[in-house]
Amino acid sequence: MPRETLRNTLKVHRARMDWTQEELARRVGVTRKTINTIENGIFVPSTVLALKLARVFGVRVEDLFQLAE
Amino acid sequence: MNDIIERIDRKRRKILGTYVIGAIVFFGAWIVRFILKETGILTDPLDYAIAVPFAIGLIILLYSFGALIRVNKEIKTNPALQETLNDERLQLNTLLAFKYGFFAMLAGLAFFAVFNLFFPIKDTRSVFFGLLMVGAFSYNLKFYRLEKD
Repeated sequence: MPRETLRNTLKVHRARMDWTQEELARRVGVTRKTINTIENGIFVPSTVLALKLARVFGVRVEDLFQLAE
Repeated sequence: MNDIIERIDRKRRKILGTYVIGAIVFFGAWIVRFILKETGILTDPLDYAIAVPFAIGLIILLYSFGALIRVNKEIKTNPALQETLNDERLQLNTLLAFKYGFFAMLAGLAFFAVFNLFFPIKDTRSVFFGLLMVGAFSYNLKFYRLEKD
């Protein structure tokens, strides 16, 4: 079974809000490194963190994270 | 607050890097001495030569261990800091590193078992000490690599 990868649009939404990784990290209560690793697809966040991220951007989780085709 | 988090996070990674260097030097010297001693080719000059990296590694280890304790104390004084600096990525890395440390300990056990077949180990206390070191240092090494990526 092929391993599914998760794409995200975190960087796009962060740019839209004009936030740095540090600013976003502060808003969701994680370290900047965690945001960095999520953006680069290294770390897959939990549902709770994904929901928190979606909430601070005012979008749905599906708008932030998608399964790669 | 963000600056403090970033500063402590960077400091913690840096100390961990120093700790790993100390652990590699210390354990490297220890395992070389163990093998030479058990195979009967450890001479006095060799023993003194190995004592140098052994002592250097130990000093680095103790220094970085103390520094890590100080950083952890600093984190524990502030609940908000503690929550952010121990977020879910860090918790996952801790778990992955623990798993790695466990398997490294098993590999170490296999190494000593095979070694014992060819050179019956006289100093069994060293085996326990060695396995503990393998587990602890492998855990820290993996954790450092995960945090560095």
